[in-house]
Amino acid sequence: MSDSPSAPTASARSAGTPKPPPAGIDPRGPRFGAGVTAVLLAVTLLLGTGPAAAALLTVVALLFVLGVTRGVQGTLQGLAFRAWVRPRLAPPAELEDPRPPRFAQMVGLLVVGAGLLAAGLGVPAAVPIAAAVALVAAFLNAAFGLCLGCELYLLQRRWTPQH
Amino acid sequence: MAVHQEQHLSAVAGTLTSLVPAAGSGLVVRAALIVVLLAAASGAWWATAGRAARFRPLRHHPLPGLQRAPGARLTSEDLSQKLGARGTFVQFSSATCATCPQVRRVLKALTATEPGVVQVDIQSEDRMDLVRRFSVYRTPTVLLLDPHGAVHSRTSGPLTPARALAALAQLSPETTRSIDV
Repeated sequence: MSDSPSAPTASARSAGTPKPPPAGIDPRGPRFGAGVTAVLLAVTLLLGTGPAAAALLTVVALLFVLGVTRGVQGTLQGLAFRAWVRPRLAPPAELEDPRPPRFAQMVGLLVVGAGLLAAGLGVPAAVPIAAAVALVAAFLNAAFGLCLGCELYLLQRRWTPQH
Repeated sequence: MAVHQEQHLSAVAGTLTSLVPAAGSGLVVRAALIVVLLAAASGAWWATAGRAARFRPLRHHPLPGLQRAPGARLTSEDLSQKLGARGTFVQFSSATCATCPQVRRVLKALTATEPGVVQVDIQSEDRMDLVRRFSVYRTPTVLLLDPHGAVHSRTSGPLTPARALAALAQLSPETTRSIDV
């Protein structure tokens, strides 16, 4: 099964309407990607509050932008997974819907983006705080397969007014 | 057990932090904080996942407004589907739910082997009324209904066939001779 990005490009906003489900992806891909993200975020935390930390967090934010616009399989980590990791693994037992991890990428982008914004407005501590929050989510995803961002989806739906 | 582990880990982290003045570097503090953060996250995950995976009887459910409320019952009109003569698994799924297909497969397989058991899959986005009425905060959440539609127990997160069978056994102990889990 190929996981070519056949997801409709407009689905980021309309994730609530279950149209035809896009082609499944190897669930280990997002986990690998989260592991890479977690390492980058840990290094960001080690760097403290300086411009180097902000620069690295910006890199993470750009990776999230790729994940939101192209899906997790379109991020650099996703491409690395397909090129170097998956050939060494057994075929996946089951495929996964690409929409949940993609939604989680958006949550990650919001967290990291808010941190960078606050840092730009003169709160340097926002960089390590945002990095720490995102690190917890990325770490839980990589280590246990728990998609924390996905869990927020229903909460967000509950808060939005009933149609 | 998780608490002990966490205490142990934070003790280790404490030792690390006390070494810091000697090391004279903020790097060690930050590394120690990262270790503490990830250990705490792991502990929290371990405790929450273990608790969520069990089918909990509704009367012990901590969320307010659920216990014995008249709404703690689902009719076949609510579901536009007939209830199972023995029990009904109602699964709340959503578009961004990675675990839902696995749970759906487990429950579907169960309905094939257990007579009188029905599985209903609810797309949460379409039934926000039920999501609010039953205080569903994450997907997948599975409610187990008795033959009259009263919610007997609920669970969330990944589901094993053994756990689902055990919940069925709790629901109707007299018909569980075939189950050995």
